[in-house]
Order: sequence, then structure tokens, then C-alpha cells
Amino acid sequence: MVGKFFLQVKSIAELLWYEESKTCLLCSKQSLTTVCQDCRQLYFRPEQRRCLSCGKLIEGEADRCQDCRDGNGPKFLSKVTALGHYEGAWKQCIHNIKYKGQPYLLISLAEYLTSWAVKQLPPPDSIVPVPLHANRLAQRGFNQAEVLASVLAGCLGIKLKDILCRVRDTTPQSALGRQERLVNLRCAFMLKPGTQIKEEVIWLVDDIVTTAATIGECAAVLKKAGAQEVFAFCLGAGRESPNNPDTASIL
Amino acid sequence: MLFYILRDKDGGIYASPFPALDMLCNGAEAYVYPGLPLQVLNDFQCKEQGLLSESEIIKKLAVSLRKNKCLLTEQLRWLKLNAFSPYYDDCLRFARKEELLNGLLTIIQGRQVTENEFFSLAKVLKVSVTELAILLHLTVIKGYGEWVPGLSRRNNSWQCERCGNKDCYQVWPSYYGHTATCLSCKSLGPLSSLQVIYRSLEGTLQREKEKKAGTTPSTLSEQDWQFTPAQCSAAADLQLFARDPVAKEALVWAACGAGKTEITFPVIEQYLEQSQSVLYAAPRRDVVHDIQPRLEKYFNSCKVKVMSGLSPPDWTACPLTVATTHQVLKFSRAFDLIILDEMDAYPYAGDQVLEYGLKQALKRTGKIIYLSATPSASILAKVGRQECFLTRLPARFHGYPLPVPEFLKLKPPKISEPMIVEGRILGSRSLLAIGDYLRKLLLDGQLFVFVPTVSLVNTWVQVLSLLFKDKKITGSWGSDPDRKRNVASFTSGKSDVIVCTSILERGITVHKAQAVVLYADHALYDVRALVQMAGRVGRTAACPQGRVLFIAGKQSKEITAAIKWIEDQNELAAQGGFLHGR
Repeated sequence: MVGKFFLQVKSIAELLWYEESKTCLLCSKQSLTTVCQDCRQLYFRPEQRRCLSCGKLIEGEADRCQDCRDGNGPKFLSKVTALGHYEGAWKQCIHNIKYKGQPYLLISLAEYLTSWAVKQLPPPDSIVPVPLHANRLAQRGFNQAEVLASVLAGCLGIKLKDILCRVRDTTPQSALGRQERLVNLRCAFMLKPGTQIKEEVIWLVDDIVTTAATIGECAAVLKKAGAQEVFAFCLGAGRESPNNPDTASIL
Repeated sequence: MLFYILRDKDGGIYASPFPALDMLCNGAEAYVYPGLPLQVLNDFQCKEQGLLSESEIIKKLAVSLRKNKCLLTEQLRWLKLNAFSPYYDDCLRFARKEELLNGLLTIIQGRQVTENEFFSLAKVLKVSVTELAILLHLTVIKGYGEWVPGLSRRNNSWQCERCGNKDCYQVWPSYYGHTATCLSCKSLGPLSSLQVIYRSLEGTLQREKEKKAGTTPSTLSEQDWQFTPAQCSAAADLQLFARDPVAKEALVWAACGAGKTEITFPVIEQYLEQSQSVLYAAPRRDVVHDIQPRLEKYFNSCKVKVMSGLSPPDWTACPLTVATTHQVLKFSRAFDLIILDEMDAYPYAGDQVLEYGLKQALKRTGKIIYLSATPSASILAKVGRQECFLTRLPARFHGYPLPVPEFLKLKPPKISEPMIVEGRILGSRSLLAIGDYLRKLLLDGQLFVFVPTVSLVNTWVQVLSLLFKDKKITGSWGSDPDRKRNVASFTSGKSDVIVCTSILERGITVHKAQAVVLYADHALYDVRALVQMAGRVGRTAACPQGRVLFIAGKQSKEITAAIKWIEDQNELAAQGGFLHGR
């Protein structure tokens, strides 16, 4: 009893005495912020341009990556932006969120998510997450895009509308090549019955964007249902290869 | 991984990830669709619902899901099992692959495998992840293993089934309602209550008794071990302990640098000869990587498996494993003998999760040997209660006594006060006196200077650099980015002095070194830390002696106790006739 009392006194004293030390979510080094300055610079690259059509990180002065300039990008999206480059520790963090049962990590990233989204995209009427097929939702237990959308909606006071559904259980995009990805998702999404989005500006939210096939398909459904404009926000995107001859010439 | 409620032909109710396999092996007839996480079904306590009718089970399950705020919209229903049930063909194919099953059983004996590790295990067996899961379920049906959820709900809290942690978890709302992720063992890969662990059951698979050619450890005679008399005596004690049918735990209380690792080798050999499995565990990664070549040298025909955060997943079955205490969490009732080195070192000391892991990895009939130079009060109390066997190794291998620390009553400048202003040392008398003592010690070799806080390291590096301009002074602390380089510079003899925090209090041997502990009365220094720091001196046969200075304004209880602790160790060594060096 006395021992327990002293342990409690000790823990209270420790609370008063020691400042809680925080570590960076990505590199685990000591940091005063959730993601340290070095990691923000390395993975979020705020100064680097994003392809307006597919969100890919691009070099140089062009607005779009070479693929999108060649007409291969999504057609119904006004702008796509990604918080960071999908590689290294940021990729690992997204994997932890998505595959390893840690969706709550998104809450600690809220300040970066909201500030980047607000800076890059115009104010929306509603936020719509990219849906998972019922089978995959059952296996995973949560939809990471929905968690991300709810964090943004909660922080910014914008309506969250879970209005899309995935009607076909498609092969995971990560298992396919570019051409297969573009075909894989055709007619995979539908608007839930009774949904009204006429003249609305929508933020479509997903975790990763590579070919933008998924968000492109979803945007097409939303536009068809009368949405005024569809913008997309995601956690990570690829980077245009510096070996791309066109980019290389810009550099 | 989702589980389904099943009804077998006798009316029994249980959960299975592959109902088709249960139909093939046990004659299961129907299952509830859709599947749910095992933890959700455990909450429902499906085994206890065996007396209910099928419709009552559905009703009760629906109520249980609603109570847990599950968002499942699909209607729960019973489906008949037949040749068109999911995975039927795969189950049929694998139910007959005895050879693959035996190979898997050898690998997973004594292991607990989380869902996140399935991919690497499947790669070893050259099967897909689903096929591996079917095989694992086949072992469960045959009674070799069991499925447990990653975390289980216990009343109103959660407990991690891998590390036993009950306090440190994150609860979040999933599709299935309240879900938890363990934060305590996430360094081994995050684990949530939606995932499952496959756990092999103890004693269900007889390890191959016949040792294959070339795996028999070479038998060495006592002379081959090249033990000192003190080591011989302690090693003999340990062998007695190993033969004792009742004793479960033993403590080897050794002097710093006495060669305590080697004295466990005869016991290890004894176990290996009986085809029993042995684990050598240590809290620190560098100890693990240091011990592996030594074990391989002694047991030259026995493969030694290493498991640390640095090593890639290794699924080979080995009788002798060396692992960090974190990696031990991957085992379940696996070892007949566990040797825990440096039991008082961070991060093992005081970590209940790692302690749980060690107990979990030990077979119920297994024994555990703790090695320590500075055992904790709790293990000594266990010895006092005769719950733990004790053997002492009080003398170093070279036969010289441990250097007894000298207390020097000199108050170093206050930690908060500046010692250097504009590149000049402030003229504190005590500071200059300390400088004089250190200069004398430096005549005899290199010097460890221990300070209690990180901020003091750089200050004292600057002070000593100004005092000894012809000497190379280096400094290091736990999170020092150049730690490896700075420590290597000292151990290789390129630096004359290293100013450091307690990071170098163990696991480092420098040929000819003296030690000084500044602010030795600091609250951070307990008896054991002081003994370990003193233990850095006189460790080699070429230079078995040296000086240790405890410098402080007053002689704290801890200082007195540390000096007494070392004197007692020397006295014990003298009584045993182990001191011949002086």
C-alpha cells in the first residue's frame, strides 16, 4: 500500500520534473514537432511543384508531368495535390496506416494535412473519400481514405460525404502495371442512391496516387452526378523520373 | 484474417479461418457468413454458445456486434459447407501435403507468428500467403498450434497476446467497432486486435531426437574450456543446477570482466547433447552480435541463429539461438534453457513486457540462468527466499583483484555554473585540483571520465582539452550521432580521454585504462552504475590493475556501498583462493 503510494508520488513528480520528449513520427529522432524539419524537407518537399493533373512531384517550371501533357492523365479533376513524396519513411508511415492497423496516426498528422490542403485547393462544399470494396473493407477493418477524409473534415469543419461505393472487387492497383491499372477500374465505382451533389465543389480524398486511375474514375462519377468541380488530395505521390528526357531538358 | 463460426457434426461451435478445411478434416457442416475478426468472435465467446440453435446464435451474435458498435451491414446467415465453399480446392490440395506440413512444423515449433510475418514465412516455404494460412490452420486442426487475436479484451482493457502489455495501447474505431493496436511491441511490427497470431503449442511436436550428422556439438573436456579455478567452480555449480529437477532459476553473480559468459558453455553443451533448445538472450544488440562468433567457435559444428533488429528474418530451426530480449517476443514455450546476460541492463531492466516475453519463451519445464555483475535487489531477494540458485564468480580470469575505487572529496564546479568563459577556464581551485589528479592518472594510460548528464559531456571535453593540450579528448553520449566513431577512436587508442555518460559503463574493454567518476554523489548514480563504471579498469591480463576515482563533494551512501560491494567481491575471491595475481 505504502509502496504503491510512493510510486504514484514518484510518477507525479516525474510529470512535473521532466519535459515530455517527443520523437519524429518518421525518423524517430528527437523533435519538437510530429514530423521533424529534416523529414518535412525530405518527404513533404513543400517547395516542389506537383503535376496539376495527377499530383506527381515534378521538377522545373511545367504545370504537368510529361504523361499528363501527353494526354494520359485523368480528365475530370481540376487539380490533384499530394502532401509528400511516396518513398522512404513516408512510404513506411503510409503502409503502417494502411496495412498495419495504425489509422490513428493520421490524427497526429492533421496539422500538416490541413495546412497543405488549404494552401493548395480552393474551399470545398464537401469531402468525399475513395471507397473500398466491401470485401477489402471486411478484411482490413477500416478505409484509410475515409479516416483521412474525416480528419480533414473534422479539422476544417467541412461536410464529409461517404457517397461513393465500389461495386467491383478489383485487383489491387499496386499489383498492376500502368496500362492494366487504367483498365482495371472501369465501371468500378457508383454513386450511392439518393445522393445530391449538384453544383458542389468536392475534395476527393485517397491515400496514394500513382497513375491517378482510381481518383480519375471516382471524379468521372462525381462529375456525371453534377459536381461543379472535383479536386483531389492524397498523402503520397510518385515523382517524375529525372531521367525523363523532357524533364531533363527543363533541368 | 477473418474467422467464421462453425458447427461440426456433433453440434460443437468454434471459429475457423478456413471452414472448408474443417469440413475436410473434422466433418464441419455449416458456417456463419460473413467472417469476422477472431477477437470479435472471442468477445462473443462462440465456444460457449454450443447449446443454442443456429438462429439463436445469429441473434446473439448480432446483439454482440451492435454492442461493440460494429458497422457490419451484411446479414449474418448460416451457409452449408460443400465442394463450392471458399478455398475448398486449395484446402483439398494442402490437406494431403504431409511433407510440406512437416517442414512447416519444424520451422514454427516454439514460435508465435503474427499475420505481418506470414509473407516472409510463405516465401521460405515457396507458397502464397493464403496457402500458408491454410497450412497453419491445418496444424491447428491437428493440435500443434492455436490462433489467438493480436490483442484480447480483458474486462474493460486490452492485453497484447504477443508481449503481454496491458497498459500501452491505442484504441480506435474500426468497421468492427472498438479496436486496439499495441504500442509496446510495435518495433517488431505493429499489431492490432483485427489481426491474429499463430502460436505453436508446447510439447506437441517431438523435436527430432536423432541428431543429424554434423550437427552434434563437439564435446570439449574441462581443459578445453581453459577455465580459471573460479570459473571452474562456478561452471560446476551451474551444471549441478541444470541437473536439479526442482530448481528453475539461477543467478550468476560475477565480477565485472570475470568471464561469466564462458562459464555457461558447459551447461549449453549439456542441453545441446540432449537435443534440447537453448536461447542466449541479452538486452543489447551489440552483446548479441559479439557472443555469436564466440558460441560458434566453441560449438563449431552447431549453427547458431542470431536474431536482432539488424538481422533479416531467419526461419531455420536451430537448437542454439542468440537474440535480443525484444526478439524473444517472437517465441512461445520454445526453450529448455534460457541464459539472460546483463539482466540489469537497459532496456530489459524494469521492462515488464520483456520479462513477460522471456517467461513466455521458456518451456514450462525449462530453466533460466541470469548473468549479472550488478544484480538488482529483487533478484537478490529471490535468492534470499531460496527461489533462485546463486553462484558467485568473484575473481577475474587473470587472478588479480578488482580495483577498489578511491573516494576523493573534491567538489567539482556546480552543474549549472559555467566553467569556461571566452575560452578560459574559470579559476576554481577544485577544478584545477581535479585536473592534477587526472594528469597523474593519464601517465598510466587512457582515461574514462564519467559524468552524469549529457550537457556535462561537452563542457568537460572543453575543460580537459584546455587542461591537457597535448592529449586528444573525445566525448560521447547515448544519442550522440557520432557515437560509434568517437567510441572507436577511444578503444583503438587514438584518443587519450573519453568523457561520457553511463553509455560506456558496460560492454567495453580498453587495454590500459583508468576511470574517474565526476559528481559521483549524483542522484542518477546508483550502486550498480558505480560498480559497472569501476569495472572498466584492469580488464586485460597484460594490464590487470588500475585506479578508479570517485570524485564528489560528499561521500554518498551509494559510493560507500559500491566500494563495499567491490571489496566484498575481492574478499570472496581471496577466500576461494582465486586470487594469485597479487
